[in-house]
Amino acid sequence: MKAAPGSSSVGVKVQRLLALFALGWLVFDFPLLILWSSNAVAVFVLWGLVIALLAWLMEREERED
Amino acid sequence: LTPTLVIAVSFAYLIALFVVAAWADRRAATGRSVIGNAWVYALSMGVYCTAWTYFGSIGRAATTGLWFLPIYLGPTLAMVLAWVLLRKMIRIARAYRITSIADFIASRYGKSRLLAGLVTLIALVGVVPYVALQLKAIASGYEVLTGAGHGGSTWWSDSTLYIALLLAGFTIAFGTRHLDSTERHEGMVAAIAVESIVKLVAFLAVGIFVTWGIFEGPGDLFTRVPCPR
Repeated sequence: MKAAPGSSSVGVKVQRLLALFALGWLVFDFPLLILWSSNAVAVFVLWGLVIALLAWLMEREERED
Repeated sequence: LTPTLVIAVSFAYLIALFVVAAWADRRAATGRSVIGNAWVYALSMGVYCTAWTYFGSIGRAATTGLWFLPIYLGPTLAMVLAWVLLRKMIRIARAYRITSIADFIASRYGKSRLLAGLVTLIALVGVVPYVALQLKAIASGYEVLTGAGHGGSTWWSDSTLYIALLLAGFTIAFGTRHLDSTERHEGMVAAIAVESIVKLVAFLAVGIFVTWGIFEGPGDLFTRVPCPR
């Protein structure tokens, strides 16, 4: 299916969100979770990073529109 | 605390929530919606933290250390896809005037009645123990606050029964009077957002108390976190 004009930025946004979701899944699931779990601070820092990345992705795209 | 005080405060809190809901509904009627705000909407999402969350997640934190975190990491990850998934679900629900998860899933598969029935059944079977947990959480909270023992030996002396009856009454009176997919429950969303602020403050208060009251700061707390296996 051919993308409608103006939908490419939406497509890119969806792809970036999917990538962030995949990254989050990788980081917060086994086996990587075992690496952080011995250090409680690391999990909180990574959690904060995922939220910050999400906020940045959403807000940045909005300004471009 | 005396039972009278706990019950009076609970009712005052419920009344305050209804006042907020009524105010938001009035604002919506005059076209000045309060829930069109991203902060209010985000706070209303805190509804997923149920009464049981306070027992479940704090209990897990106390006994298994970091393993309480997935309760929050999962929804955080799910919200990463909210912009993609939730918007689509809302669009479909609006277009087909869908009001329940059973209708939603069935509509995706050719409006199959059998599937809708099956989803309803699964949702019912899944939700009953969960609702029971919520009621148990409220009853346990009440018992902790009043210092009362575990209900009584007979079923009618268990406070859980009266809490269930009370909540059922409120739900019938205020929750499910209308069934209209085009209607936005502005008052309900606003009340839930206010509730989320209360929950957030409560969680922070517990966190501050545990970190600096029971332990000696975050460093001490983190060194004593049991290492998950």
